[in-house]
Amino acid sequence: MKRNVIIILIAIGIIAIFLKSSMYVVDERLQAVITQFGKPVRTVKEHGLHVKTPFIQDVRYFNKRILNWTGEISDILTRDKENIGVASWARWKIVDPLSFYTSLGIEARGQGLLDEVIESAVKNVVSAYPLKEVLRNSNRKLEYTTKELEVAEETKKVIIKKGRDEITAEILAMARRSLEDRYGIELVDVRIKYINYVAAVIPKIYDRMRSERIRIANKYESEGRREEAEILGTMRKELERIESEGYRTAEETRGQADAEAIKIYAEAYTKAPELYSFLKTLETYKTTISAQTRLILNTDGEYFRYLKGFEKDGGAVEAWSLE
Amino acid sequence: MPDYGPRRKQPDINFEQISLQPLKKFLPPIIMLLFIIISGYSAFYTVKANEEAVILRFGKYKETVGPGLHTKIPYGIDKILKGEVKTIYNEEFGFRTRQRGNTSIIDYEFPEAQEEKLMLTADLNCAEVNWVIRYKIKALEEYFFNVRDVRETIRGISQSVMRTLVGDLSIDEVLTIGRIEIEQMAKENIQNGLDEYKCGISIQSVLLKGVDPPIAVKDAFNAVNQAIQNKDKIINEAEGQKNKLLPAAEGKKEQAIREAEGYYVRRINRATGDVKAFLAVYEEYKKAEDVTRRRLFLETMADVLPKCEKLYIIDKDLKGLLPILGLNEEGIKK
Repeated sequence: MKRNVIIILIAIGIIAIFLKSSMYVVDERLQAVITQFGKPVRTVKEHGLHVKTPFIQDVRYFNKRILNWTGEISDILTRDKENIGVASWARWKIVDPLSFYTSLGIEARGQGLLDEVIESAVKNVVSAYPLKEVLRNSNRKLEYTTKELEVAEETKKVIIKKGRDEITAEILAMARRSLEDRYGIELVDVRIKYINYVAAVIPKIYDRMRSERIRIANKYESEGRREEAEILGTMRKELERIESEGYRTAEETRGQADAEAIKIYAEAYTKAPELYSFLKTLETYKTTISAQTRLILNTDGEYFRYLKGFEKDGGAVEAWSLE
Repeated sequence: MPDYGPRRKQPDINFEQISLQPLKKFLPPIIMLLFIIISGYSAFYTVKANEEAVILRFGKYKETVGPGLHTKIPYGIDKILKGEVKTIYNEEFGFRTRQRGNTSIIDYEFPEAQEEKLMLTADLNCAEVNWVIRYKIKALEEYFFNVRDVRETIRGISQSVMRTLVGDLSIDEVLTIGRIEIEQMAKENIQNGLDEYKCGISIQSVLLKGVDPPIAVKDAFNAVNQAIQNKDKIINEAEGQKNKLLPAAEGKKEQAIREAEGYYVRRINRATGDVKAFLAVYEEYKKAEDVTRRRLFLETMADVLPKCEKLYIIDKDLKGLLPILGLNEEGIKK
């Protein structure tokens, strides 16, 4: 009785081990290579539960998803002799696990292969172009906050024939050619993740940026002074205009007043010029003769005529007494 | 099952000796019960409110389920992959936010981020660009099945995209005028890149978190801003002076004109008055010309002559009187 139980348990165990060895699961994220005594026999890309010959065949799994690859910064001399550091970045996947397994075996070796292939492609392609060709992506007009910089940039302008995207595409094509479908690898994408001057050149770039900005600052300063002078100049001109206009109008008015007054006087006085000169003369005596005046009069005159007597003119006596 | 051991032991000590019948009778049901309990326990799983779960049956994708309590086939037949689909994830570039207790500190000097931020612009200037992208998982199956290292992929693509954009902009555009465009373009381009790989990621936003000139040249850039402000100040002051002086001058002008007009009125009125007076006098004068004339003359003399302190009346018959009067003396004095 007890022996039977043991036998059953052992049988179950054997069956379990047999099943475990003959069945395997390929996860949605994986793909598998079946090897027989270490020799690859087939690729399994179908996901789900599969059957293999137990004990004789082994399963090796490879990732089916897109895998990562990141490069280090490497120094490259561009065609226009600029010293730059470039780091690239790629995505790849194992499309033929069988040939990947036979040629490289493990993923780490795949990464190693890509190090060589991509980095040499980047170096070859980037060094064949001037820096701006790699840096820029179009011929769009650069905009600035100051006209001066815009003009300065316009003079340095170079026509971009390819640009970043096309050059990256070239790197990808070159790297793909080197892989030659031999390794079961598909290079999905290559991108430039980092591009800049090498550290030794950067201080010079900073100096240039600095001097450019200082120049602009000075320009603003002098522009301000120029506009100030212009405003103040216009102001002075306006002041002169206003003041002289005022003077002109005022003087015109005064002149007119005088002219009209003269006309009024003349019109009236021409009616009796004798009376006018008589009255006016008398009036002037009042003002011209003062205490300091030394007046010497002759008895010949009309006024003192009578001081000498009445001999000559009786009529005058009459007149005198009449007063 | 903590009580499993003792129960196994019990038959050895007690039941075996007393009777094998109960063991024969009870063992299969007990095993069955245990099997059911274990199965039942591992046949349920919960998906949290912010999660979804992908179910793989024998490694093959079966379905994606939402939050709640679900059943599965246990013993590794159904495999559950859960992911937070409602969570917004952040990736920072050029800086890192470090949590310290309740406060978070933005560290712009984070060593590994330095390489991320220093970028070359189209006019071969350098700019430091810090940015953040926010994203969430939009398709959990894609997220799990298509790309192995999704986070690293997002980081790589956004750096490459940002550098490509900055590499096609002027330093001024990067620092000031082009920032909104950068954010929009970056979002679009990063999304396109991720969609090409079918990452199952949706970029929510790309935010520039401070774009600066490198520290070494910052003062020169500040000098420009200061110069702009200074220029405005100078101009404003000049305008102010102009606006102060011109109206004052206008006022003075108006005053001068009004005064002249006043003079005009006065002059005409006086002339008219003078003339009217003269004509009135003339009217009367005409009536007794000779007498009036005499009277006016004498009146004037009476007025004028007393004012003179030195009045000499000389007979025309006397000669050589002038030296006696000391007129010569007076002449010398002059």
